[in-house]
Amino acid sequence: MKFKKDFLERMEKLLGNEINEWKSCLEKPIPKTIRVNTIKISKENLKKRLERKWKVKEIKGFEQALIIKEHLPGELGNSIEHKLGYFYVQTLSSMMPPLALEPKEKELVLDLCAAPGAKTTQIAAMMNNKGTIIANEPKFKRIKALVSNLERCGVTNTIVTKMDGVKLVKKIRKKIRFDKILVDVPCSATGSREGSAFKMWNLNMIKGLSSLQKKLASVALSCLKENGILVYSTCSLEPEENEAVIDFLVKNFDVRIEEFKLPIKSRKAITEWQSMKFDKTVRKCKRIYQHDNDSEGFFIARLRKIK
Amino acid sequence: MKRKIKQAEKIKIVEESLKEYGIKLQGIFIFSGKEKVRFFTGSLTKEDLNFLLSNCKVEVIGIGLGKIQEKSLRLSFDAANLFGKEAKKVININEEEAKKWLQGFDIERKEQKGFFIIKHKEDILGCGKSTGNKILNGVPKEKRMVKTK
Repeated sequence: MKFKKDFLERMEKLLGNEINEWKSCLEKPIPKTIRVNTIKISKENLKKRLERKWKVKEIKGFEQALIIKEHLPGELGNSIEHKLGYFYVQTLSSMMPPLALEPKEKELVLDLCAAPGAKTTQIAAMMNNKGTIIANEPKFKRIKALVSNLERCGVTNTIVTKMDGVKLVKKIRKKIRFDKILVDVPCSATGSREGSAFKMWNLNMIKGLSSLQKKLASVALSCLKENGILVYSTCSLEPEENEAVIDFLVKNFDVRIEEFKLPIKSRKAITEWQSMKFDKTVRKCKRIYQHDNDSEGFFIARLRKIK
Repeated sequence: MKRKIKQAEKIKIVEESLKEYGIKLQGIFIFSGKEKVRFFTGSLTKEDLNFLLSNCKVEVIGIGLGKIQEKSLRLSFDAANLFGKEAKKVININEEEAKKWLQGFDIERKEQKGFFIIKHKEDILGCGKSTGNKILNGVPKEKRMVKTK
């Protein structure tokens, strides 16, 4: 895989002597992981069925995920179990933000950037199709995939809105406040395992995204209940899109960063980057690199609204 | 010319059809267009729901339950799959029939006329319309299995 010089220098700063391990991880295909859709089937039953076709491996300490080995390209998506919504093809790291959110049955949840619905369907399953989720996506093309995945997975507690995230929150906050909010923002995707994200990378794009991310996360806080939880996540490794956004929220709003546990390897977030110094509590957020779990890279923060 | 069905009549048709299928649902039915029915289990109050509908661009609510056709409810593929496990208005099909059904073919079967949930072993494979001599395929294109050689 080819990287731009500037990008690689930044990654070297972040990873130090782990850089070669990270690079060689990106040369390998990502293992196929699926999330069991517990709305429709138990892990035991699904595993039994899939073992008739493929080699299936469990993940220690994480019940909902399975690794599928020895499958042909396209086989998983075209399987009867997928069409019937028994599972969702999802990377292991992308299953983590809903775990940090910990949605409960009776809660009102906002998923501000929901398409294509991997995390929304996971949240619905964690809520046993109870409570309510408002899942928003501004783009028409992506709404189609979101709705199709919600239907396939048997999600019945969700309302899908098609609006710009900022505009939606400004309308909604006049009347509705949420217990939990997931802000899985649009990002540079440098945590992905595909070359396209690295080809597109440039510092101006990162700066532009960082400003959009700050806007989305801060407006989302305005419709969160007092004591409510907001989880901010990206599949980016760029500090400007991650720690800098959380630092901005901590310094400008009445929120506190909370610790949380994940069933996969993660690291503490950084508190310094180039000339920037972040609030010390930013360390409580989590960074996940691609080579940590042979999955995608991710950044996750859990914030509690104080007032 | 087709007569427009009133909302109260639609609710009655849905409730009676679900009773016939043997499906018990607790939630809100939402009607759109002439025949589409959706089903929502969310806990949002009616007041908040109305606020959302009048202030935001709501794309869909809940799951597509099906369509009102011939004064009956034809369940959608996904709704049948979700709610049909305990249903009684069911036609069980064998392995060979299931393969054809999922490829989009009708099934030659003498059954009572009407809509039925189609089941193969533990899998619910949507809803089909029986004409008396055959069951007309109800598997949407995106759910069909690609025929392998």
